[in-house]
Amino acid sequence: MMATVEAPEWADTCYGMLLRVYPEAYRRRFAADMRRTFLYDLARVKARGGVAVLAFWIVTIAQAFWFGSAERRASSAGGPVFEPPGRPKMRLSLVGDVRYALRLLRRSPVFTLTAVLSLALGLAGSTVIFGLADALLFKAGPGIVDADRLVEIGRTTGGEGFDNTSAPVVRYLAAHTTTLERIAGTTFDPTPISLGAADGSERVFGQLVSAGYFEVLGVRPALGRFFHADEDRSADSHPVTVLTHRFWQERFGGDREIIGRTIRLNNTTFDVVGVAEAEFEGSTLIGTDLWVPIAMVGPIRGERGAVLLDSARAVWHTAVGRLKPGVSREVAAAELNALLETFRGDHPELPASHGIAVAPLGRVPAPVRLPFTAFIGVLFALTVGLLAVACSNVGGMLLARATARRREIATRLAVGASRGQIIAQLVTETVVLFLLSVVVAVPLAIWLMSLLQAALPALPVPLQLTLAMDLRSLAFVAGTAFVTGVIFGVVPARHVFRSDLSSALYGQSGTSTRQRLRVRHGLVVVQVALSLTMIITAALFVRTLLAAGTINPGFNVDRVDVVVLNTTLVRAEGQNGIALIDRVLERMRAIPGVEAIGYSRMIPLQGGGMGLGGVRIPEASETALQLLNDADWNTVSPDYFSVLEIPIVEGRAFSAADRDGQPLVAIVNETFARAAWPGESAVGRQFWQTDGGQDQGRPLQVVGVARDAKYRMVSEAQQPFIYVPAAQQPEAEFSVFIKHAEGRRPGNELRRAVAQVEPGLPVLLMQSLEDATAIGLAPQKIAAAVAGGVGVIGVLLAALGIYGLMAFVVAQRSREIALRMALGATIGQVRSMIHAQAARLALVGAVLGLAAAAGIGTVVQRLSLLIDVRAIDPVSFVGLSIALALVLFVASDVPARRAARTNPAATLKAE
Amino acid sequence: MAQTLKPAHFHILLALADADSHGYAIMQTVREQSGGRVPLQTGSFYRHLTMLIDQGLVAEAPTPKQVDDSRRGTHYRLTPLGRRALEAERQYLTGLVTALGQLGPSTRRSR
Repeated sequence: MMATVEAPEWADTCYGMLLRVYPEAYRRRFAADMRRTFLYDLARVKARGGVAVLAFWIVTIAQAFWFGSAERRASSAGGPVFEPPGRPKMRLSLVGDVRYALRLLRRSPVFTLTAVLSLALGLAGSTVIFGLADALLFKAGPGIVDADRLVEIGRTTGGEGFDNTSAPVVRYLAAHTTTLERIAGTTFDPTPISLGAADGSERVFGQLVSAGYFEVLGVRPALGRFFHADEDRSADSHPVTVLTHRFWQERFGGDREIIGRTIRLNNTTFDVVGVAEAEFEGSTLIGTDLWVPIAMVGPIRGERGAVLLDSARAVWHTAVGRLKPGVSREVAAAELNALLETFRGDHPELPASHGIAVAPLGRVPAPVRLPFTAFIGVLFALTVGLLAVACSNVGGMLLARATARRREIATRLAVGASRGQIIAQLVTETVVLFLLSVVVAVPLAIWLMSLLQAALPALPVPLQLTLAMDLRSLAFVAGTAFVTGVIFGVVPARHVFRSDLSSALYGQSGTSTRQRLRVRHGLVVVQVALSLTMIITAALFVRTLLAAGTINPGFNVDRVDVVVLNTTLVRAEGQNGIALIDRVLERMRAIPGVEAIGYSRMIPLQGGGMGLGGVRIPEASETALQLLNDADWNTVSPDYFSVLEIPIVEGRAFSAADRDGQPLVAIVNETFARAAWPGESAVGRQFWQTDGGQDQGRPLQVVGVARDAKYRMVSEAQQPFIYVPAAQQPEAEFSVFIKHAEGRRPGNELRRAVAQVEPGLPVLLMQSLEDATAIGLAPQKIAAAVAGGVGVIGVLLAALGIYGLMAFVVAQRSREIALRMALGATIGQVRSMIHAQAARLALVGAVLGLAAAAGIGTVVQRLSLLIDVRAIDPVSFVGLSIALALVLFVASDVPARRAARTNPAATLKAE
Repeated sequence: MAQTLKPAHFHILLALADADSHGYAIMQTVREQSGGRVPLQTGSFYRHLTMLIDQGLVAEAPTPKQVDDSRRGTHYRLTPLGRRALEAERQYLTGLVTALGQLGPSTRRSR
């Protein structure tokens, strides 16, 4: 994926640098031609996709090193390469290099184990997040053809955003577009539907799509056919359905006779006309069981279908489209917006602020794609940070080893090895090390993926997301390891040659130690900075979760289950729906262990809210009204407040007497009451419920004030809120809250109770209220786990890095330390001298790390992921800096103590 | 003369038999001729090419003055020695094919 985005100049520069492995004379003669050839070849490979490009780069880099060093050998030998027939020498040298590298790694098991483990952790972490990002953002869903020409079409408001649009608009655009081959409407979220069976009903998910939907995506039927245009014409069209392959297998045992049979959906008979090809379950990551034409919205959604089909104001679905070849999204968007203006001429009811948005088709729906991408980006940055820490740690160790091996290298050079051979061998050693870590990283990544998959919140819809170690992830992990291996192999090799090797031969330390140390200092600073960034980020999320845990949502979730029903699915609307639900409640109350039952339209903390109109209060100020007009509403049963333990602080709760035909009443929350009637009692007051237009509206009498609670999400500020009796303003959907006694959770008895009252009434959702309200915190939980995991490992690696460096420094400075001690320096002075050197590095790293953490903190705050925690949270920033300082102090104290133990006489004598 | 040329070398010589050509074109021709059985990338291709030059089988050719080709860099041609090596290889392979043809269909059955 990453390899396909680079510009040709970038590739050219890279290849130019690679060619420097070749001897200069060779470069002068062939480099220009080779670069040209390489670029032509790269262009050819690019057409075959990301994996091919990655493989191409790996082969290219490998060849440059092997052949380049072979040419160097040849040129230093002063003649053409001697090629024994049959077996080329350079292959021999590669095998030999690998064998030698393995032998060396076996000889220092501690180094090998630490390096391989830390690299494997970094590689595995970034591979998991790569897999996640790839599955969510880049890969088209299975079955979709030529995804790069597919777009999602939605509505802008005031030129911004991406939201549902209306059926007439989509039909008009589809009929008149010239820049798109085809447009088809589709609902984003699958609708729960009742599938009728002999023994009651079961809940399935269905997606409403236009007749051309499958053709737009290029999906083929596995069996039968897709929808004909006349099956999607009007609410009177003949009801038909197409099943997903999975649902056909699971529910109908893959029976090929299914075509032409009928199934009952929401008590309407549908003909099964086809089965889609295997794996395809729609273009987004939310799956479905079956599809029905958009014209069937009436029986499927249980609402008045004709209104949804014919009103340009009813915005309830989006569309997918296929661009004609060569047409850009911008051109298509311009055309569709022009078409919308024409449409508006005949449909003045279309709000003036509505426009058309055209976004690339993705598995994450366009409205939430940006925050989603940013969130994945933060996770990816964290894991790449860990990889960088691991790499710089290993880089430091390799530098130390290269220094220690200077004598060996000098000897080999002296007996005739070429620089190319030495470089090839050093690079081979590093690459072998990195590839070994891939062997460890792959199973680790698979394990982490299964952990992550298990950690995904229990969603009430089928999720089409499988994290698996596929070819792309494998290419990513191997490619990353190879490239980093080459980089971290070349750097130490260069340092070896930069120093004066002849002195190494005679056991003296070279003059360029200082320079090599500077690189290692830099690596340690990077480790400190990155690990501090990671643990602070983790702390921000952990503190958010803690804060969310202590925030009182204002209602009780313990021992409460929620069952969602929609009475219009069995054609019971208005007061009939209320009566039906009352009968269901009656039956549920008889279940042993059930203590109390109430219901409402909305479940709190789902991220959304409901409005039932505007608010008019003659005596309230203009600013107060602006706030109050944004109030969310909920229709509730009399027992709602007692079941969820929402206190009524003034006045009374609703009662059975607040029914249809009686004076309209409302209960407002404290924030509403304070804003509308400051300093006065709200009970007994009146306000008018308007439909947002010019009319007076109807008066509601406030009978009580409820304690403030959290309504859409726990992180929100206090919002005004209005409760009205469900019996007076009935809605079609009911969320029934069932409170049970300790240890007596009812479970499937609830389902049975519903079926006993009305066999056709599907249970759309059944969950504990705790689970239902926890979905909103899933991103923070994932981020805290990822950041915390990589942060702790990062800190350990940074400690290891600073320990290694200080131990090295102490060894290098042993003579100086001995001199100082001979001249009267105390043990304490020597120790603090070493500590001071470590502290300087840690300080620079900490400053950089704090700055980076502040950046990440600001990003996640913008994404509204922090609750009651500031982006630059003093507790996390200061606390973790101190904690890290302590860890680093301990790590550098071991070498400092060793320095202090220096025996000046013995050391100076040895020199 | 027994077979002395590596497959990659043989294909490069073959690609130059009809006309002089430049690097990328030779590489593509080899890929097509061999049906992908001779994997070549820029690095390995130039490795082979320099060997052939060192052995005196291929030499740089004067670049033709066509506008289209000026961007493509150095042209290469077969030397007389290269042409002889290719001819020897051709005879050797033809001999092999004839010999195999006389073997009859029994080889096919044993597969």
